[in-house]
Order: sequence, then structure tokens, then C-alpha cells
Amino acid sequence: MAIENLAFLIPLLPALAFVITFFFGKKMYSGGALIPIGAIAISCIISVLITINLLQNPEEVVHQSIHWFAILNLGILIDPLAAVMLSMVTFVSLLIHIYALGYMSHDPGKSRYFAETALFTAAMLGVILSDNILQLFICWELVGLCSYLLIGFWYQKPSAAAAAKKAFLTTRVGDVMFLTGIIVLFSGIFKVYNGNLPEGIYVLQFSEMFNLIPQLSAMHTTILGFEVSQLTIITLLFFGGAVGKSGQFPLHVWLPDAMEGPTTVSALIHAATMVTAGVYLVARTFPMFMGAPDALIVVAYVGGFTALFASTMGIVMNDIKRVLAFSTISQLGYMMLGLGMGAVVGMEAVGVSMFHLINHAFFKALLFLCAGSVIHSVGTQDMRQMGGVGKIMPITFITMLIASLALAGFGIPGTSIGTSGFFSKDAIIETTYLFAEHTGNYLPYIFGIVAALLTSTYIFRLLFMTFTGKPRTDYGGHESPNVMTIPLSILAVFALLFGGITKKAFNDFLEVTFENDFVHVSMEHLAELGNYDLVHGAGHEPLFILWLPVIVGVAGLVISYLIYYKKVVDMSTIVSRNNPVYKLLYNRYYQHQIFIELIALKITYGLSLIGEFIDRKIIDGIIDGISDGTIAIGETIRKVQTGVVQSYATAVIAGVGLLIILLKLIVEVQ
Amino acid sequence: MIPLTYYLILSTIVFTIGLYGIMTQRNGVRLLMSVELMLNAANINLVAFSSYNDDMSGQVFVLFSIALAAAEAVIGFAILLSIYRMRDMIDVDNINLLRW
Amino acid sequence: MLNKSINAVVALLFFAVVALAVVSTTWVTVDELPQNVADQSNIEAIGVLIFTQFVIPFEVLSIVLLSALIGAIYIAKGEVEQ
Repeated sequence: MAIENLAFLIPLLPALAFVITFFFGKKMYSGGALIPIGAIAISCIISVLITINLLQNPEEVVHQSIHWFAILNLGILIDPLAAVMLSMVTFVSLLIHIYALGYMSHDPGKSRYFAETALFTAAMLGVILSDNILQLFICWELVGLCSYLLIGFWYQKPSAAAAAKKAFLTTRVGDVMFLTGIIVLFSGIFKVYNGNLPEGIYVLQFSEMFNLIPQLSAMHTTILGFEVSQLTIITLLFFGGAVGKSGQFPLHVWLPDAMEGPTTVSALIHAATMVTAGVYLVARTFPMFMGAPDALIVVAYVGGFTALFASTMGIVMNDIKRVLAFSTISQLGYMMLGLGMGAVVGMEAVGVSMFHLINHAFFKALLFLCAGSVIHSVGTQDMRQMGGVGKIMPITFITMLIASLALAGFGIPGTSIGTSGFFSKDAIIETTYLFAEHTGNYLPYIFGIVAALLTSTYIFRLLFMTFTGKPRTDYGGHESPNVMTIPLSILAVFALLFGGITKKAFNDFLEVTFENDFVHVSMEHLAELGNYDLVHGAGHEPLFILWLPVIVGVAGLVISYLIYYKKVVDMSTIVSRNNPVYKLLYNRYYQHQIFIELIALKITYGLSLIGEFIDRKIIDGIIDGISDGTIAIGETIRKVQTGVVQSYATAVIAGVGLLIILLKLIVEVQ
Repeated sequence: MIPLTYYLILSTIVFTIGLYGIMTQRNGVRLLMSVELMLNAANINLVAFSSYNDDMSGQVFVLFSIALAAAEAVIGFAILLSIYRMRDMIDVDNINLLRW
Repeated sequence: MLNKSINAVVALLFFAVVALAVVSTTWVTVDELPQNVADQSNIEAIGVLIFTQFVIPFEVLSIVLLSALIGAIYIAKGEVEQ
């Protein structure tokens, strides 16, 4: 029996584990944690085996589909893109589940925790495996629900409950856009077929969608006087969904607050997997983005801006997890930026971006788990109260160091020596340089470089503040148990080596994602539709450009070293309420004020007041008026009902007589 | 030969009298008498049509109808009797339980 | 008084409508009423019809009458005698 036939088990096993753990977990050993771990381990093995098979023959994708109803199907598609995601998600999820055995060991609600993470894993695998956009959307929503549940895991804490609500509502904005995109897409397909959808074809399957790209691209709609391609609208709406889920500007506000959940949740959902679903969505529908004019440019700018914007805030946060949260937003921005570079490099952009996604998943999950290890031991999240943790937690310190080096992108250009983040982030920055060279637009490149400098600065600031120096408070603390440090070590190995080992193979593998038995699209042709001018033969950048990301990385390290270790600059002069820049950054660009106090309280509240007025006074007024009038008339008329049957008889007879006369008259007229 | 219309007019007159009685009379017994009038107006019609169409079944029906009228009158009087027991009078004006 | 006049008007209206309808309708009748000089009565014919063609309605009617009588007695008897 071929391993491909077991593909359906990949999402099914975690889902089953969810059911079992949810209902029976309380009575089992350690809250039934072993069931999800076992299920995900099997999923992971299947995924890796399928990926290995696929590596031999990238064209023989796994595709299974069953009829659902009407023109919809449920299906599984494992092409190179899905395969790498699949392996990463199951693997990281497995490690984090094992880690959580230790991390959540004292929590009374751990069976609920493990059930929900199992459900999350199942839903996330569903997103990855979907072969049609609707199924993807359903799983997408399910993932959002799990995120909500897990952020609010400690729902007794008001801040956690509020954060969960905020995350849910903010991503909902994106989800509505995504759904609108699907509806617009469907109506477009409907128009292409002139209202006669063909039998036996599932029109929302990716292969069918991609086949119709030329027709959709040819349709135009006028918005605000601009003629916009239907495809651009669809893709931008999809991208709106991705913006919500992947925490891109301006819908990133939920992600820092999402850190209220357990650290393992942050690592699993808000670093490695769910937040990358947005990136995955764009990659999955990449042919459509290629065929849509201007769409990729928007993606690039949003991504680039987010990368820079989030990293500036990362510098001033004092909460160890929030630094990492902003770092995640920033790195997701890089991925989007990389995808947007499809405008010049075509399909290679998917490879570059997904490469960063996978590497990021390893090192960011590692960062979060290390932070969780520290929090678990020290009992606080405030870095100002830590310091010197490296002495009592050597394993955590070393793994954290590796992850930080990976995040900052340390390596030697032109060789295979370097951390995984180095290869992927540099690749993105190089493509932005290519873009700049090709189009004369240097803005994405500048975004990328400056963000790289800030990234390195904030991550080493975190490292120095937490692990070096003397303890600033008396926190006690101890090294974490083996069940936590072993996953850390495994992830550290991947964060260190994965990039260098797979660099070349990875890009080649993903290059052929959309050229197989299931879908076959020509990127060249699509790029013409989308007015993108592709260039070939990358990799002849000046030496300086190749080295620059590393240089800024080291520069960030040096800056942090000088400020936070050597303390050559007195921080108290900078960190003060009087410094406008610090204030701006520390208050996160007053986003809270803008979003809550201005948008939510002023604008939305004002709108809702108007809405309330219309609803209460006008609409309700009409309804109430009608009913009051009816009641008043009834009050008057009911006097007629004397209860004397004779009057009724009289009325009936008179009515019959008049009716006959009336009928007669009408008949006469005719 | 007397035209059929004469019989029909007669029956209409009888019916209208019964109708007027129903509408105006207060006394329950008189009401029942008015109902009888209306029924009999219908009977006249039946007999007339029966004769003028040479079809005996109409006349048979009249017999049935008379018998039913008897049953109806019996029930009506019984109801009046129980009303009388309850209220010591049979004026339908005061029986207005159906009022608002 | 007003009530009675209204009632009268309604009754007259009804009469007028029906009478008009009766008069203006063309009734289909036989040309000549059948005459049986030997026996003017049609009792016999009715009796035959009742016990042949209409025997089932006749039986049903008898039950209706009976039940009406029983019901009338029950209602009229009241609760005094119990």
C-alpha cells in the first residue's frame, strides 16, 4: 500500500485525538497529552514520507477528492508547496506538544489545552491540504477559532479574554475580506461560464481556478473611476484575509496581545503555523497573483512596511514575549515582501518566501519555547526583572543564542556556512535588490535592510537583558526538565543547519509547485497578463549587496552589546517619558489610541449611535407606529363586537347583499 | 300554468320575513320561529323546482329537511330552556358572552 | 328604533337583490306540469323513492333525529333532577 493513500489520515488523526482528549482526557495520564502527541507523530511520519516521495518525482502530486455536493468537493492536494508546509507543521507541532508536557504540567486545564492544540493542528493541516478554496476557507476559520480559544486559555484573566476577543475580531476583518474574495471569484467564474456551470467539474478547485485566470483577468470593474481587473480585486481580497491572519499592517494589532495565551500556544500558533497561513494562502493562489496587475506590488509594499514598522516597536518592548511577537510580525512582513517580489522573479519568489517561512518556523518556535522555558523558571515575563539567567539555564541560553543568530541572519555569503535565517532572509533581501535594480524602486530594499538592522538590535537586546549580567531581582529559577530541553535542542539543530543544507534543493523543489499532473500553469504567460516584467539569472549582485545584510546584522549585535552589556550609553536618558521617539515607540505608535479610542470609540461608536438612532427612532418608530395605530384602531373597532349574534347576522346579510351588487356591477362593466 | 318565478318570489318573501325576524326579535322563541320560516322558504324552493323539473327527489328532500328542522327546533328549545334556567329570561340581547 | 329601520333596510336590500336575481334568471322548466287525473297525490311515488333510492339518508336521518332528541332531553333536563 502506497503511503500516498494514507494522506487523508494526516488531518484526521489529530482531529480524532481532539475528540478523545476533549471528552476523556481528564481521566488519563497527564491530561491525555499522549494521544495528540501520538497522533501528530504518525501524521508527521506520513507527511515526511510523502514529502520524500515527492522529492523524487515532484510532478506526481498526491490528489484525492470526494464529491461533497453540487459543484463542491472535499479534497486533499499535496504538491511541493503543501508538502514542505505539512512536514514543518507536523514536526514543529509534535515538538511543541512534547515540550508542552513539561510546560503545562502544573496547569489544571491541560486536557483542554491538549485537545484544543490537537484540533488546531488538524485544522491547520486542513488548510494546507485543501485542494479547493472553499475547504481552505472553512479550515481557515477553524484555525481562527482555535487561536481564539487558546489565546483565551486562561480565560479567568480579563486581559486574556480581551486579547482573545481582539484577536478574533481583528482576524475576522480579514476573514470577511477573504470570503468576499471567494464570492467575487465565484461570481466571476459564473460569468465566464455564462451561468451554466459545467457538470462534473469542481469550479472552486485550484486547478479550475487557475485555468480561468486569463478570462478573469480580462474582466474589468470600475472602482472610484479606476478600471480594475476582476482578478486584482479577487487577489487583493484574498490578500486582505492573509493580512488579517498573518498580522500584516494594519491588522497586526492582535498579534502582540495574543501573547496572553500560554507560551507554547504562542510558539505553535502565533509564530510557526497559523500566522503563516496568510503567507501560505498567497503562495497557494500565487498564479492568480501573478496574473493580477498591481496585486504583487501591493503585497510587497504591505509586507515591507510591516517588516520595518513592527521591528521598530520590537526594540522598546520590555515583555520578552512581546518582543518576539513584534519580531514575528516583522518576519511575516519579510515573507510577504518575498512573495511580492514575484513581480520580478516569478515563481522563485514562492520558493524564497516559503524557505523563510519554514526557517522562521524553526527558529521562532525555538525562540518562543526558550522564552517559555525562562518564564517557566523565573516566573515573570518582564525582562527588566531578569538578567543573568544564562548561568542557571545553560541549555536554554545556548539554544536561544542559536535562534537569535538565525533570526538576525548570521552567515558567510557565498558559502554554505550560516544559520538558516541567513539563507532565507538574505535571499529575500537579494530579490528586493533585484527588484530595485530592475525597476529603479529602492523602497522595498530599504525597508528590508533597515528592518534587518533593527531585527538584530532587538533580538540581541533581548538576549543581553535576559541572559547576561547580574540578576536584577531575586527570582530563584532552575533549568527546565528534559522534556522541555530536548525539543529545544532538536529545534536548535534545525534552526542552525536546515537552511544551509536544503538551500538549493528547496528552491528547485518549490519551483515546480504549479507544474504537475493536477495544475499546470505557465508563469511566463501569467506574468504577461499581470504586466510583470520578469528577469532571469539572479545572483550577480555586487559583493557589497551580498554582505550588507550580514553587516547590518553584526551592527545590530554591536549596538545592543554596547548599550545593554557594556552600557556605554546610559539608557535612563533615552528610556524616559520625555523622549518623544521612545514614547512613540513604547506606545506602539499610539495604535491603541488610534484603534480603540479613535476608530472604535469615536468613529465606530458615533456610527453606531447614528445606527441606533435610525434603528430606534426611524425603523422602530415606523414599526411601533404601525402597531400602535393598529392597536388604536382595534380598540375603537372592537366596540362593534357587541356579542349580540343578531347584529352579526345583520352585518353578514348586508355584506352579502352589497357584495352581490358589487359583483353584478363589475360584471356589467365588463 | 303559474310560472316558477312566482313560487321563487314567494319563497324569497318568506325568507326575508324570517331574516327580518332573526335580525330584530329579542325573544328566543320568536327567533326559532323565524329560523323555521327561513327553512320553509328553502322548502318551497325545493318543491317548486322539483315539480317544474319533473324530478321527485326534490320533494323527498323536503321531507328530510322538515325532519331536520324538527331536530333543530328541539335542540334550539333545549338550549333556550337551559338559558332560561341560568338567567330567568330568554332575551338574546343579554346573551352577549361573545362580546369584546 | 334606528336599529329596526337599519334592519328593515338590510332586509329589503336582501329581498331586492334576491328577487332581482330570481326575476332576471331564465329558469329551465318542463313545458307542462305532469297531470295524473286518476290519482292527484304523489305520496306513493315519494314513499317508493324514500325506501329505494334514498334509503340510506333516511336511516341516517332517523339516527340524527334520535340523537337530537336524546341530546335535547339531556340539555333540557339540567342538573336539578340528578
